[in-house]
Amino acid sequence: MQPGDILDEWQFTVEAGKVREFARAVMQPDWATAEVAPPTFPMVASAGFVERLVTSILALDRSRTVHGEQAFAYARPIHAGDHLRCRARLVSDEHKQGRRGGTMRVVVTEIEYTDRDNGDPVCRETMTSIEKAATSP
Amino acid sequence: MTLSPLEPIEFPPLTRTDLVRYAGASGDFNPLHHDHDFATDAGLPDVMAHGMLTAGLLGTALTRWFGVGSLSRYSVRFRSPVWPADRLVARCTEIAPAPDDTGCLDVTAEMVRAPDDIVLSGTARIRRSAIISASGSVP
Repeated sequence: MQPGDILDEWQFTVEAGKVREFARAVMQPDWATAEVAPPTFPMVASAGFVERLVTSILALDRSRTVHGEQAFAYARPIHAGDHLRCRARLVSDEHKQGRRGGTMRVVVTEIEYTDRDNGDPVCRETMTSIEKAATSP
Repeated sequence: MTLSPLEPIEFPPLTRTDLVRYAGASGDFNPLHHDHDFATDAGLPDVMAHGMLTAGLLGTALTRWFGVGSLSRYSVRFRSPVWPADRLVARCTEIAPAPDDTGCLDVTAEMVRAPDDIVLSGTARIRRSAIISASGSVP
């Protein structure tokens, strides 16, 4: 697995009910009528991929893996009814010396969301996952 | 209604139900966030809130300050874990013109565990069109 490699590709339909369910979960006061997806909604489209990434593609130990950083760049807001094409790439996968000894692993992935119907960019999501060093027995 | 960005937004104390609701809505079923035995076996004192729940709450605050669909960028760094019963407050700490001369605004914001423990720091860029339509509410 090399930086730049495509890790996965999939499609995602933005359902109105899901937008409202998510808006409620992030405590948006107008969740019941939301049509525009909340800023972090792309996480819904990437949840299945992230699960595969952690459990099988990278096979990280979940009990010591933390989410370091998350970034979104939006070409436009996501709306209920959008059909998204999603492509995940590996940006970097590095092993570093942990602060308390051992080796920690820092993995950066990027997901590009484009409009399935016209190919226009919608959003780019960058995620940093950190698998902390295993504690010595 | 758009609030003034200078007005902190306080969320109700987090409940385990809030964590489960976020798990279902987001599809993130990492057991650290809902399975108490799994969490304590992993050395945690309790189930831990999803980092992206806290990031989502700050996203809600940004939307309330600057309007729906107003963000062109949003990024967060997770500083400290969040637990059930934590009382989170979103604060906007800085607003400045974006350096790229596009007329956008760059915003620095943070989520604090009351009274003063920063659990997440965020930056966002607000679209010019959103600033124009909300003019009067943005200083």
